[in-house]
Amino acid sequence: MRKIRIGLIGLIICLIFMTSPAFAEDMIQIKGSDTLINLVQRLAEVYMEEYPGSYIAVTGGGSGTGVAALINKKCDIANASRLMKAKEVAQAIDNGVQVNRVVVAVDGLSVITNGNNPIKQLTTDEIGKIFRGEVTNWKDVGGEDMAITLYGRQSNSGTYGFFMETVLKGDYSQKMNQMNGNAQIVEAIKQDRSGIGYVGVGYVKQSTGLTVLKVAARAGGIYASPLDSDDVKTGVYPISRPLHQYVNGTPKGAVKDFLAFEVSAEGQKIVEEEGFFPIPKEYKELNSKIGL
Amino acid sequence: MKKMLCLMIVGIMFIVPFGAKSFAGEVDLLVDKLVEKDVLTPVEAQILLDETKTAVAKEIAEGKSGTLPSWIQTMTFKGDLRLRYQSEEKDTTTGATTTTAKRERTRMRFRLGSEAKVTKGFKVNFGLASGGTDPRSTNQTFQDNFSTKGINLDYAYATYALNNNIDILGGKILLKDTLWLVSDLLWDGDINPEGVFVKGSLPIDSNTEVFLNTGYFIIDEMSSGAEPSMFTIQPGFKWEVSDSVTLKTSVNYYAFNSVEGLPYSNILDGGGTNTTSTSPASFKYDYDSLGFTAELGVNLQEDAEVDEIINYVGLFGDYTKNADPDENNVGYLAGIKFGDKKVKDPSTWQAKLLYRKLEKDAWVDFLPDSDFLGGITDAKGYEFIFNYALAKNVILGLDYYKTETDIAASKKEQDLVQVDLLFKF
Repeated sequence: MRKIRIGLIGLIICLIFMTSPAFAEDMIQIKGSDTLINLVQRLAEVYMEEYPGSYIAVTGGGSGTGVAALINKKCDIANASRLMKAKEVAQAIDNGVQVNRVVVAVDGLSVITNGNNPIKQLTTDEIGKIFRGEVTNWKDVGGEDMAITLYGRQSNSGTYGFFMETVLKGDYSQKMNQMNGNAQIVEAIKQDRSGIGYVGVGYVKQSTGLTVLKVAARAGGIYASPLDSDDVKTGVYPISRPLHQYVNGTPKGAVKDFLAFEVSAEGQKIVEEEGFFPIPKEYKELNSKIGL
Repeated sequence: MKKMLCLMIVGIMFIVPFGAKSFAGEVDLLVDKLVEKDVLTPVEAQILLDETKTAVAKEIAEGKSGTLPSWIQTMTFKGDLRLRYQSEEKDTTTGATTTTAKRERTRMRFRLGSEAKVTKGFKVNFGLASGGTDPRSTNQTFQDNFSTKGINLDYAYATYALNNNIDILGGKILLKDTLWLVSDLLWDGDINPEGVFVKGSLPIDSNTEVFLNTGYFIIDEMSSGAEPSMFTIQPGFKWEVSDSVTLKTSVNYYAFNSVEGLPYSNILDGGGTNTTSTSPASFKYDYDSLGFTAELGVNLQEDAEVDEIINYVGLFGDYTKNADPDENNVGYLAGIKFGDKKVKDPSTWQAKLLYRKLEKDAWVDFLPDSDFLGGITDAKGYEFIFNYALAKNVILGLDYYKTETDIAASKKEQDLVQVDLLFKF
């Protein structure tokens, strides 16, 4: 009987404890995409300088990590360089999280090679074959007789998923080196003449020792560069993508203020300074649907 | 016009839900054509496709799709097949005589599980598994001239989400949906306890979460007399110390009812191995126990300048003490794991090394890992585990146990090797 009483007390404590409201939290927690981390950290720094008393913590871990944190209500904003997956949308609904996305920048996902590699352009079909492991030597795409070394991201990366869905349309070669971040890919390819990789354009605008390949959507099509803002904004560059932030519900208070700053003219200027592209009017209209 | 297009595309995607990849490609072509005809700008096309994908995912998740069969929208399935080669050598020494038993087995395990949404807040999980009625094993040995093998109900339980923080579960419950465990020191991973369970968690801030698990499990039904049962409560917390360091710990209390004096004949696969007995053959002690569990995880890939071979290191441990006997009443386990945090994607791997000791009256002998010296108490030794993903969800595993009894008069020593090929789907 004593044990049953202990059990009942434990159960009651559990119920009271768990139904009490969470502690108030003024700090904005942002988590997720490695592609977005430098940009959002800079936006947060400028915002905190302009609005003393505000506090924003930005951490990485990959888009999957950020989205998982939002679903589990452990962050206010999830940075994501890809759309949420159907499974994640379902988990969010199960957890009572109403996801809304904000587009804060546009990225020309850049395919890079070593600066000493004579290849300057490829089609998306050729890039897909290379990363699927179907083309393994540069001579098969008009280059030197040299084995290709692949550098990509780990599976928790949104860039990994976006590139797979948009360019590969299949599985990555098992021989691809899975790197921890964009910066690691850039450094590896600088040192590897045979390497090819993909990174956010913000990581290559100022880099030397690399070739940022021009890419055409199909053979005979226009080869466009992710470094050309017009090509990216108009969608001529075939692997441009919006960079997202997901929030729970309609943004309010401090979160709304910070998001509004990000998509403002001042915020978009920082986006350009960090190597990405400002959002075109279509994305501004999309953002306005949730009050931004 | 554009809204109409969006609705049309969403409608088309619902009408042909299968062969999603090829059909998504066709939708892409349709949108490409609209861009070519200047009906849409490339950015509008991208928004249209993105919003459509999210809208379809939401509708299916909410079970509102009018064209998909309802069971597709409300049920998910998962399972695995494990092929195992197992070699064991057991020495038993009584006085000056040692006998050695060697055995090799080729085995399989098949499991199929499903989760079905009943209505908002309610769901049912059920699973089938190979093996016999042994609660601590779902293995099926290849034997008996190609006989067909049995499938049993492994678990079946309902969950009610009282709110975002509390789940109430009832039935034969999947073990991993009950207590937080870091090892199988006390609970074999194949056991799925029967009873009711409440799981609660509460975020304190973005880095800290407290949790409280509590449940009541029925061990057996008696035609007369009190039914053996157990009550458990496990408060704990998870603290993300930094971006790369996580600490999770809990206090674990178990209260057993009517196990003291329970005849061994009531216990399936256990009872009377090394535990102290009373006459007629039954448990002498109660097993009310207090202990703790902890795991410290360090993610080494954060902030790394170069790609690391070891991306994750975890230290974990379990401790338990039975309050009833005065001696031989402690169990503990300490372990380290390193490699990748999860073994799933190609070339990911993880190695684990563990040492444990479970004294003879520390815990009931029908719950611990059945591969560790046959799942008895009064056991100690090492375990080494290595898993490597050959392809996505295809895992090659090695599990080696070096175990022995602690104080038993009849000394047992066992070397056990298991080589597994696991296919998850």
